[in-house]
Amino acid sequence: MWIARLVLVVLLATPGAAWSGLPDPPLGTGEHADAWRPDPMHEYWDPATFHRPETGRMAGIFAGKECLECHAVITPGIVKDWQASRHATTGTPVLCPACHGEDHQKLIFPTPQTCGTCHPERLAQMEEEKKYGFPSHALAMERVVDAKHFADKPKAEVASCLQCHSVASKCDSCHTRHRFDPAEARRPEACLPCHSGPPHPDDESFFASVHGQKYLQEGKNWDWNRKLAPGNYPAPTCAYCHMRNGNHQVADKAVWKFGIREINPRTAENTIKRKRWQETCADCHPSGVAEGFFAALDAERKASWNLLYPVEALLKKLRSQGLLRPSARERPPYPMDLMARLLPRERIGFFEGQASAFYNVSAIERDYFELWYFNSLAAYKGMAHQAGGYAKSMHEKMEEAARAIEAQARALTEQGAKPLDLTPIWMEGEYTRFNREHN
Amino acid sequence: MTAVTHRVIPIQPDAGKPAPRHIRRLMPVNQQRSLAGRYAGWVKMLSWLAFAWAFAGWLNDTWFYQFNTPLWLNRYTEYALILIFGLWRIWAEKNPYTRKRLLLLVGNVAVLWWAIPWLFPFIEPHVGYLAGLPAFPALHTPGTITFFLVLAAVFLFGRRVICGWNCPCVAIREVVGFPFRHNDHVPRGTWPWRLRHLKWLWFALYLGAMWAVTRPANNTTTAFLGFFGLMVGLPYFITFLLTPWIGNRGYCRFLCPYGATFGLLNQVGMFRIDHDAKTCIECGLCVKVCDMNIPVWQMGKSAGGRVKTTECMGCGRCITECPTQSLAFHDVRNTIFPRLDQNRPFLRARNDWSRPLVRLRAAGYLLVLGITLAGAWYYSAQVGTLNELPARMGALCGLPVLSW
Repeated sequence: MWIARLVLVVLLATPGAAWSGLPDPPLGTGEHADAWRPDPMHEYWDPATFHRPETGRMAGIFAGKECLECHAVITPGIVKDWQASRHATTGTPVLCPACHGEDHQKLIFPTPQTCGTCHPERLAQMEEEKKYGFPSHALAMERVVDAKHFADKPKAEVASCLQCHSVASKCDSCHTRHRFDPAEARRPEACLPCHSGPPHPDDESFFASVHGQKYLQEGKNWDWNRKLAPGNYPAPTCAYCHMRNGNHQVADKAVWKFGIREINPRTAENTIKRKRWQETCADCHPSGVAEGFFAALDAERKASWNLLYPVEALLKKLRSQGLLRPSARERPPYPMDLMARLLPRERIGFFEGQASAFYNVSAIERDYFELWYFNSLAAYKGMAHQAGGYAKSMHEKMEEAARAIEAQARALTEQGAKPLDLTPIWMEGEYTRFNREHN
Repeated sequence: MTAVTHRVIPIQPDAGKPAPRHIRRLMPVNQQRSLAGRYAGWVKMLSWLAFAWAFAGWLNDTWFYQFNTPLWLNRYTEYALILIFGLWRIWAEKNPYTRKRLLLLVGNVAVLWWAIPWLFPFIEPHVGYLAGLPAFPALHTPGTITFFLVLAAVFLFGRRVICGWNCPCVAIREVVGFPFRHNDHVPRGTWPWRLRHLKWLWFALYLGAMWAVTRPANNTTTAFLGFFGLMVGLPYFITFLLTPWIGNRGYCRFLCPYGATFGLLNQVGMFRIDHDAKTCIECGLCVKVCDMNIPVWQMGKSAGGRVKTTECMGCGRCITECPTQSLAFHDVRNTIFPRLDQNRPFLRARNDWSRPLVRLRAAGYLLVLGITLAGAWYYSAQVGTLNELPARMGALCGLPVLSW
């Protein structure tokens, strides 16, 4: 009998579902694909998903040199770049249709997969990064579009995220179009547009090191057309170590990553990664030198966590005393953050997700965020790039910040937190409401 | 035909005499047997400290990261303790079949769970690692084959394939937790038996984790897997310390999601315990020796001679202790060899070293472990960065001819 019922349910359910109307395909991508829709720039950031070819003019099939006849006049810059590239000067030139297609009504924006048809090993190396998890170039796009605040905030306010995070879907983040010059991508400047500023102080910390100083002094005279191989460069720069021998897999040696969570440097995985670092250092230094750097880095990290944990505990104590004002209850949560609406709670530290809670918080929380994320990260990057002096100055900054937070906490405990009149600044208002409705 | 008359012997209390005090006879430390004995306080303390040490090793490796300590504190501490206590336990064990099981259990843990991961570290792919990448078959193919072979083996031979013979969780509870097998420590009876269903909650979490690893990495999947890891890891180690109150098998009985998976296969697969109600004298020894607290003979009697339960992890204590040979394992071998009877003498003879076949099997086992170790040594030098992988893809899949 139950089999008959089951069959009946299956038979009725299928046409029933079709009749009731299946949901429309989501406009965005990622976990919250339904909650946002792309703006026009998205066809640049994620062409595979969002590029819609321009139709309505210039119908026709154009092969090879025909493209150049018009584009040399309309867009002379990209043609000149292409003419200077190896694509143009190689035996059989790689012409426009190879990447963009021939049909002007169905032009495509190249993706890494397009480049991978001729450079499969580079594409495979980049894709391989996914094996190592977050953060990585290859998973950078997911990291943005899966963030609740990305889907939730007005697109105008998250437009800049994708400028860097689109590295997952664009080879021309580093090899700018249409020159696609390896020499350009080998220089540190190729990394700096994204790897700079508080969340990735790679520029400051590297340039403070001996390697970095040597590059700043002499780098303009180096021949960047040479491969990233031992003996070709007087000092290593970003790509030499992190993309050893031109390996486009940049995550294979990343141990501490963003440094916002204390990790075990002796897991099986990290043991292998450190071995790879040792091999990299051994290109120039006696083998074993890296050991000393690892010991220094481990000591630096331990010192940082010894400083950070008490401050984190202090903030949690303030939270339990209700001294973090405005409290999570008083702050307007992101509309999509259901948990934050049901159980408003100030998120402190890595495991509570403070890394994504740096807006819309109380002053002392923000101070701790900068100490824990930005200053600690800078100290670790400094030590990892062998810029000991930079690391030391960052530690002094951390101690200063910790003292300031302690003083602030003492004042809060003694005087009590003042209730604030929260005039909605950016979470409410005409502009925000309009954007949210048209998101 | 004479009527059988039962003589009634009335039990009369010895009025006036004090009731005899219960004599607490302790088991010597060089003796262990299926029916759990009481052990001296210092043995229990030693065992509990070893549990605490293993827990501290895990905590240090996941939380404290204090490596400049004189104590050996990492995730392998547990396996080292299994080896040390295991040797003691094998030496002391009086049941020949259990002794053989412990030999294999400790050997497997020492080689497959300790030596190979420790000596030959390997990068495990992150959750959501997508298919179609050059390095993926290197790990995916052997992993998939192993996964399904294990499930098939559990289907054919029962849950004991993993739980009984190749599980570090069972191993530490058997060899370090042996003083806590006695009824002084093990909750038995109806309610503890009902509590076995608690593990299905963890099984549901496990199903969620299986779903999450098939998804691309995102906030939800990574957070869920972290939560799952804690939900399994913390009870696993906290039950170490609770052993004196929940028995040495508390985790396996009530909480283990993997045991639940294998238990399901136990239920639908070919494994069962045959029970002969005609010869059974209902002495209850099978229940008393069972660490999983399975009411063996009652189930056999009520289910027509077939004990089929998700709980049985195949230690074979009930069978090898049954005084009337009323119990026997039943698995795929009985289908192939209909006259086979895996009863008490059969199982006990599995550890009779005067038999050439037993020696041959032992040699084969050592050969397999040796080949596995050698393979790990070979591949640990092969698997490196991706630059090396495309060229070695074929070799890593186990097909050297595909190398180019």
